[in-house]
Amino acid sequence: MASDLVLISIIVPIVMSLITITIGKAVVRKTFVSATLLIVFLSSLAIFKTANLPTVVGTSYYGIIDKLIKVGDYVLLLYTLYVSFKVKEPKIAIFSILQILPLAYFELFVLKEQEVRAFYIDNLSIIMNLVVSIVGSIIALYAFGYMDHHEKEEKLVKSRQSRFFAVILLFFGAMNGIIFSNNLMWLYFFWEITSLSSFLLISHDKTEVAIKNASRALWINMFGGFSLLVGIIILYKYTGMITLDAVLKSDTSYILLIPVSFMVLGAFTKSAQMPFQSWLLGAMVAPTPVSALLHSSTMVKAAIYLILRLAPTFRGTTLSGFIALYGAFTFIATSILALSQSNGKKILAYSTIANLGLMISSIGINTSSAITAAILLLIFHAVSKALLFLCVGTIEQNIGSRDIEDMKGLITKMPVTTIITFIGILSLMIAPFGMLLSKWMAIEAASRNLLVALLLILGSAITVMYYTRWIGNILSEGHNSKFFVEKQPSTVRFALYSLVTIAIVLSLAVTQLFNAIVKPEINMLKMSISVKAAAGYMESNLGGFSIYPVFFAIGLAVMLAFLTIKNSRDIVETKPYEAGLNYDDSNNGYDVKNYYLPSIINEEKMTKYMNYISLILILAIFGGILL
Amino acid sequence: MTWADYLIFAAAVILTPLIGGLITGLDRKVTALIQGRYGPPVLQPFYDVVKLLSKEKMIVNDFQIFAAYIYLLSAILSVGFFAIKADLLMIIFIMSIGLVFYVIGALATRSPYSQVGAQRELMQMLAYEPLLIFVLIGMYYVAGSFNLHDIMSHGRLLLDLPLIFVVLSLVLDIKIKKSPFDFSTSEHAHQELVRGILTDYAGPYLALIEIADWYELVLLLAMLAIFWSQNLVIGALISLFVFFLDIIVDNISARMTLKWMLSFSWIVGISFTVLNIAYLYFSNVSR
Repeated sequence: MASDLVLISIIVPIVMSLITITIGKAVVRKTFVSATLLIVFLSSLAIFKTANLPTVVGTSYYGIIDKLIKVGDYVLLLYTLYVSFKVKEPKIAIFSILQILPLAYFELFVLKEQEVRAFYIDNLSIIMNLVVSIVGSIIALYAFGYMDHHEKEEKLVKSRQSRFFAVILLFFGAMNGIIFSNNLMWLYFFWEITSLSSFLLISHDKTEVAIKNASRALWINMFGGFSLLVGIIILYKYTGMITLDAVLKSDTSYILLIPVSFMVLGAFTKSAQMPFQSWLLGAMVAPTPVSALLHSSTMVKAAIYLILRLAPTFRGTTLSGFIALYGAFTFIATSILALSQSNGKKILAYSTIANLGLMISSIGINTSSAITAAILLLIFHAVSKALLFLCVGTIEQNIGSRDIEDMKGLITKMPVTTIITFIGILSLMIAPFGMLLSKWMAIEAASRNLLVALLLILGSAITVMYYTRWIGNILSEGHNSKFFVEKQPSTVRFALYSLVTIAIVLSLAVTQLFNAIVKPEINMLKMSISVKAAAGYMESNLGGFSIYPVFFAIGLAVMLAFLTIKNSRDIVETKPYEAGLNYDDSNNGYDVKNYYLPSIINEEKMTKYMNYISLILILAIFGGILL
Repeated sequence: MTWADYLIFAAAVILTPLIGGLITGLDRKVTALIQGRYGPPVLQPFYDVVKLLSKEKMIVNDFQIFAAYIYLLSAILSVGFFAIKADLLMIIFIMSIGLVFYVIGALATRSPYSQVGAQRELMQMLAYEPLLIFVLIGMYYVAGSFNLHDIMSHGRLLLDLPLIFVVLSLVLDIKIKKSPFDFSTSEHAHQELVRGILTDYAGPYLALIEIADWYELVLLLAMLAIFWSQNLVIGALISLFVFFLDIIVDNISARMTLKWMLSFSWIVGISFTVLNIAYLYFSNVSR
């Protein structure tokens, strides 16, 4: 039963994707895509409800799927080779050849064929699957409305949406493939599909810069795929293991740490950690739903999934400590870079990389509360970041800019979207929202490791600064603005409303969420449970956090403010103080820009040095194997 | 939470503003004496707040009302949690909710004065918030927990964490915006910023912010006091002494630049924390 459901969640989107590409008619395509999304969503719920966890299940179709994947590997790599010539980027060719040759050698001479059980299902896979199928589907729905508007702006004669949605469905199938595969060769195949699909999505607009950035994304991720493949080959060659469950059952050893660090390196490229961050920054040229997908529920989260998966193999090693340090470094470095930006999407991009760094750092700390923090961060970040990207996309289509300085006074133009953006940003940066609760847990868990703790604390303070002023900008207005509901396509509205609801509800129900799906995972990892959760109270051996009183206080404040506004007739509206000058309500008045600290932070220069440092840290991780 | 906890919570919430107002009054008196003036009565801050509360409700936009209320309530909540000895890191996180809204409230009006003030307040937060958490990390190294209850059972933190104590004193100085850190409101009015971040907060809402400031002042002083939790009277005297030093420094120094503040606080914060924790290792205090 479980294996069939998993199979559905992987195969259906992929097959449907092949069909979607042939559908030209908008209505048919939309029904078709929605139906697929519904199936993906329902199958994820069904797996969550029915599967007996944790379990490793086989499938009767193993043979045929394995053959398809073996052929698929070469088709994929040859296609990237072709892409390399088309976009004239030799680096892609180098890395695809670097994969084809070892792959062929490995499969012909080293790998002994044997049937293994196909799918590994535990709470972590379930969590990932739910994130992909819920957040991902909402983003895809949003794309319905967004892409229509987008193509109108681009003045396309012939719609290219069939291709767009086909790739998105393919992406979902591949993500589910990564999440559930037990055979590492399968995981590798789906991993490569996600790299290729993100190339196709980033280059969707076919502009020169889009193709350039897409090919950069491809070669960096191909390097990651190469590293993953090397890891798998070494693993098989020296230990004879090719499945996840075998790896997780074996004891930590030298021999295991070498392939694991190659796989983790592959994950670093996919999660755009320094010095690989440039591909994710470049990806923002793509239509907004693509950015939202890459940044929140798919792609980068696949990397976090892999590192989380492998975490038990390096628990308690020096290597783990270096991974924590590396993640913490990326966290603070990209937070500093985000501080210097006024481009909304770029701020979000840097903040994504930073948060992924935070997750990786937590995984590196590798205690039960740190792993809990990492899993919670993964969930909350997916929801909030998807929401914010969709907000920026909506704002951009309305005001024609993604610069946060141009968003001043947005509350008068798009009140609903502004309020949703406001809540979205809050959910990323202040307590009692889930992100902050997880950050609280991560910092407390990190405190044993002084350097990591200091970096995380400094980075968090910087995060507060660059997000606070963004909220300040969108709310900034010299008078009270009228509230109205702006016009939006219904799918866009649905996506925004549902994501903001999920963000709030999940934060309120974080203890239940923890007990339902995170705690069993920690149990399964055979770690001592140091985190307990009862209604509204999260407790670890280091401290405790009460969530409800904080929500209550905020709710009370909001209510008091509403009552004041509603009941007092003596409120006098006045003009902002401008030292006696007449306040000019147009944009010609005196205005103040945010402090971007150009005298301290030079993005280009700083990136260069930070890349060097991060390279040294990666070398240290590999050196950590020996210690 | 037990009934006793609720009572302590309530008592702290009621008493704190009285103490905070009194300390602010003393501050004004001492400052006046240093400057050779007679100064206002010690109860002047209370008169001011009562008067502000009864004034006309002047606002630029509704968001200011939200901001003022959330600032006050989060300050109250953090003081209450402190009184029942909860997790200190949580308390700091709750405190920062209010600060974020305080800044947004000022940014939400279009006055250049309040906007510059808000930007500077953000820089001040960037300067002291990480330091505040460094202090907690230091306490964790001694007590093995972030819970105030466990931290206070230690008794004489000051002896183990002298440098961390200095860091917290620095935090206090930046937090209450005394010179040389009087960036965001220009504490001594009639300067180029008018009242900075406070410029567009008026009447009752300014009063709410004043009261919230009292709560936060007392919270920080209390954090200084728990460095001698064995005898809290001595602890309170120590923290009042630090406050007195801040007043002296306020009167003998001029405002520096933002860049200086940021590098000064981070360098002092990081190096003192690391040195102090290294000292703990060598003296085998760390758990």
